[in-house]
Amino acid sequence: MANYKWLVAASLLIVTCVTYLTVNRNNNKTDNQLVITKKPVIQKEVEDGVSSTIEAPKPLLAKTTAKISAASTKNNALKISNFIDMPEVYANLKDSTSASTRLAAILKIQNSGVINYDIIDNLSKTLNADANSNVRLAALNLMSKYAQDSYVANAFLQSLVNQKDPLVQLGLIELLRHTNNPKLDDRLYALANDPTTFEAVKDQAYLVLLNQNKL
Amino acid sequence: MKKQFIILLTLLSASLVVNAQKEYRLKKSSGQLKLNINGAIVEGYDGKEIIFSSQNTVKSEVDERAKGLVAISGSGFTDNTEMGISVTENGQEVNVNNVSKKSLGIITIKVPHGIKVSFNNNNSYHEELILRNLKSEIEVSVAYNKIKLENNTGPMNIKTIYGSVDASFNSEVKGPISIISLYDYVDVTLPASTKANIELSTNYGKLYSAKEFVIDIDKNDVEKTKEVSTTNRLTGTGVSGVALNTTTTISGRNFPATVYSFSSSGERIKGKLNGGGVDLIFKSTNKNVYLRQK
Repeated sequence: MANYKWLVAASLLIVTCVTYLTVNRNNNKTDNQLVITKKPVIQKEVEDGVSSTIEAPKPLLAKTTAKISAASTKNNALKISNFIDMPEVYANLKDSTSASTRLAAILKIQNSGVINYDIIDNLSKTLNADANSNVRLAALNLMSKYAQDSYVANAFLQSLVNQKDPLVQLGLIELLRHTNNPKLDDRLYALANDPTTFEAVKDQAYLVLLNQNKL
Repeated sequence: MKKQFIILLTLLSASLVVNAQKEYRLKKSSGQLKLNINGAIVEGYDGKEIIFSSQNTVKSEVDERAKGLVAISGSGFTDNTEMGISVTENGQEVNVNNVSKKSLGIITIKVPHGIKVSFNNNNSYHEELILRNLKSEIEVSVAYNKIKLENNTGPMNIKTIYGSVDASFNSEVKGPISIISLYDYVDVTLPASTKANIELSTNYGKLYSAKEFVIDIDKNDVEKTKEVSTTNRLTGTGVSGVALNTTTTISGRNFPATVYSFSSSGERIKGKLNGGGVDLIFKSTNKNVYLRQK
């Protein structure tokens, strides 16, 4: 009989410990389910630490694992992840109320290492139209990694025509001067002859033309 | 002792200017403050009103002829503060504009912590611009102003074309922070323990850093760079304080050498401080970038 009492006490203790642990993990499931979920969750955590991908687990565990993986993604936010929520990033890129949100979106793309022409198109829009110079420059910085791609190079040339931000104009000239693109000369002449062009940009345009003996 | 002294000084100076001081208050604890004026001292504080005050430099003699009249200007703004500025509220935004191009002296603006501050000044009239103790987003875009940033948390986007930037942060930093000057220096003071993804760059200047900062250079970002030129620059420019582990640590832009080669003085470092964290971008195109320890 005494043994039976101890058994009850011990099981109670175990149940309490398990509950405590699970409450700490923001989980409201019952004990039975927890005993089942516990193991996969730990596995999931380890996996997430490595790949940061969220796979759809069994329906019963869906909520738990999603929560845990979200938390672990947050913990691992410093690591470079390949997972990136593009609709959210695009939405942030268009957030006119906060330049920092837009900048953060660009840095997110940069850290993910993901790139495609759709992203380049969106970055081009930012490069040409963003209200904030810092954000435009971050877009230029990211795109410049892929400047050897002709699509990106064309986007740069096009941008030089419409670009109103002197800092970005200077950055573009600095990038394009090394490409020996014949179309660049026209753009530089146009910039140099435009009375509204910022003085330093004019100087730089002349300098590039002069270096190529085109003046 | 030091604190008492400061309080005493503040009280003294306060009593000196109290007669000349003008004030304008606006109830607002969220939204955005858009400043289109020549210069200002902007301070964050724990309150619910935006308080504009000016240590009056407005001429004391009263123009008798102007009595009963209102000063008007081609700018289209009317002075509703008696400080030469127009303050208007438009939904979540508070717009502050100069009535005449030339301002009537430095205006101190106390801003509740929940309000974003954006400062714009692209004309050549410029004065001091100091931003301190702000806890919301900051956006500064100016042509000539020198900018001082003290104890702001960020996030912030700072750009000046001809002015310099002096920034000092404490341990509480929210990213992304981007500080860019085209023609003058960028001088940043950070606590040594700051966790950050940092990017420092200059085209025609140098980068300096305190020895305490060990920048763990991002290898992914430099793998394609031209090693010969980076090595030359590493020894050639004599960047003393930057903690560099290998010759590949100074980075450039990600270009194959055939397409893009560096101007001999261009420098760009991208890497992690203390394992990485908030995003920090400090850039001066023509002058130096300094990174100091707090």
